[in-house]
Amino acid sequence: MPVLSLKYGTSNVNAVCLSDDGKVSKYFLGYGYAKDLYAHFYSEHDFYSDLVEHIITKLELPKGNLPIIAAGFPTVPAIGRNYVSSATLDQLLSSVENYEVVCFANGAVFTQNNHLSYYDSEKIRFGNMETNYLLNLAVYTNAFPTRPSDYNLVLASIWGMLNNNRKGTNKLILNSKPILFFGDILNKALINPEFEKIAYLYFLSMVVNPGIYTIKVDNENLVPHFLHLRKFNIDLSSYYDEFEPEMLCTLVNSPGETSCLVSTEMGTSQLMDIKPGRIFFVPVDKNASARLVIKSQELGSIEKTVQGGKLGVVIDTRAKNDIASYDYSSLQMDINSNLKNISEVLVRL
Amino acid sequence: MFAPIIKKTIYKDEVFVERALPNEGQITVSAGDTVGPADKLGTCKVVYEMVTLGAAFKPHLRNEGSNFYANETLVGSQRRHKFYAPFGGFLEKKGEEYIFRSEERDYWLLPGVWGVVKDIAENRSVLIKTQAVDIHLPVTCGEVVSGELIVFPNPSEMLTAQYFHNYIKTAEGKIVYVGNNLSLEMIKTARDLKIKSVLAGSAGKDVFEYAKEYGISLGLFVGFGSIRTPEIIYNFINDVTSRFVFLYTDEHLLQIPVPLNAGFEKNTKPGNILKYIRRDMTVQVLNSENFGQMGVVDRVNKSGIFVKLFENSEVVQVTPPNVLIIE
Repeated sequence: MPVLSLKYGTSNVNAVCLSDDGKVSKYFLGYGYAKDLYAHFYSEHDFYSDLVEHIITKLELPKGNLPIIAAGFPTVPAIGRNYVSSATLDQLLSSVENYEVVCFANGAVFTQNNHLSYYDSEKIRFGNMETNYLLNLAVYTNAFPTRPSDYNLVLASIWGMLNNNRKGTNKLILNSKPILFFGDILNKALINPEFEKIAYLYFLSMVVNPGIYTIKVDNENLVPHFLHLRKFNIDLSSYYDEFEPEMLCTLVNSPGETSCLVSTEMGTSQLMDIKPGRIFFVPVDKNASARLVIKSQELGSIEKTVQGGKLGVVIDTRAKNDIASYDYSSLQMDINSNLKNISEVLVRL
Repeated sequence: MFAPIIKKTIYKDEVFVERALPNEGQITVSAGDTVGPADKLGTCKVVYEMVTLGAAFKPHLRNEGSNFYANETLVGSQRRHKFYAPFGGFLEKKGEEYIFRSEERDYWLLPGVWGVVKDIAENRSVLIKTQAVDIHLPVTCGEVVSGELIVFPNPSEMLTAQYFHNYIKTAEGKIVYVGNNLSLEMIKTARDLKIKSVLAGSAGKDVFEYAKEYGISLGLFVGFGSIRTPEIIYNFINDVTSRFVFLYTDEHLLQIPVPLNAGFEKNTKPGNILKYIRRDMTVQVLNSENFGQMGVVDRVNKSGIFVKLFENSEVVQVTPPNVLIIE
């Protein structure tokens, strides 16, 4: 019997189906229940019942006795069927051991231990047009930006919220688990390559503590499904255990002037002196590794072998951990000046 | 391609409206009576104007022994400030405090709707079964209100100020549709004119915050920013200007009572919230470039949905989830 896993977001329903032979199929529906839009004529129960029936039809699944597992936040919406398992998103994410997860939902950011809501946080002061656009997205929750500037705005509001809630940004971190980014704003079904570049620059900007990090992305939002399948039936845990999110890069956060020697498996070496306030992309393929020797005031002297990725090895000398001085306008300048660099590295790798 | 339906107008044939007297009085209709919007349901006495003068007030001594003061005559003083009657009225002492009130006048309770009296709360209120069209307002704030609907003909901002001032004598307590966009200046003027509630196609965050701060009930037919009111909605409300309407901010609805057999189709709940998008359907587009605008589907193919916008007949391409079907 196939198993259908559903993840309800504020703005969409994401489905993964495991067939009898273990094949994974996916379906994404970019609409979620918004009280302000539908409550005057349609209930949440009926709305999601219709959406789930639509997904079952699209995935060509049997109508009766289909085991459905479902996740949502803060609750899992009821539909005209029983779930064989239901869990909230924060419950599922708290069981992740091998990653530091950062999940962007519409209106909130989740990590293993915490979740932050945009609505409860102090916000960046945008201009009138930008503010109005963000307010419209809160009403028409299904709407997704189609202009890079609007996509940038959505990410900037998340970045601002994270910054307002940070503590201990100077702590040096050298043995972090890989950081895994995923969520609605990174969904493959909604974004284009232009948006992807902006998102990657934001991810680099959201990791602020000095240190060395492995950054991964799950742009199909599979993690919550595989976590739920594991929770539902231990025999299905291999989907999570064997899941390999895309390797984005190794990020070296070294605020200030940094000297870096990169030696590749091919025997080539490159010595770089990177000025403060730069994002430097060293093209190293995701299947290759490189030996780094880094010297800077913040990191001291460090030697480490790291993996490449979609963006290679990124040496970031911005003082982004100084959240009092590294503000929204500094970030925007860095985003704009690095879009071309990120395009070049994506073409090369 | 599939998208959900949004019902922007809904006809309901079983709407219950309670009309209440401000004070205890006399109800003059009975259960089962058929009523029209201007029929009298009941009456009571109401003091329309009152000034609280406080405990320190010293009445002006007069010989007549009456507590009635004609307009602009000296009533008394508060410390060094003399108080002249702002209207003809009575000086009374309530507890420790003096108050100056106008003469009680008759208040007539009107239904504002077409319907049948279903129940009566003795001397206080009347429950009427009626029929109405609900118009969806995605953005609302403030209290639930009812009043006469005034519709401005989508004027420019400059003209709106003139419209407001033309209504200066009569705007108090009314629900005013001011046009496609409500500016901060306009809502400030509305507040000065004691307008109870303002409707528009769109408004900025500053306007929304102002309305919330000063307790003005606000309803927007589209959303934030500068987005035109859809023609189908404007045409409908323009036809019912001066009608007594109900703004249910909590339910995101403007309820407009209509006569029985007015030709509206009875509301039926959609069989499914999702519909396949086809040519000639009315849709609302939510892409960044044309956010909130409505139009008609011109064609649908693998690359997207091509929508001819009502506003300028431009054909724009959208894909789900940036599209909603409008019914």
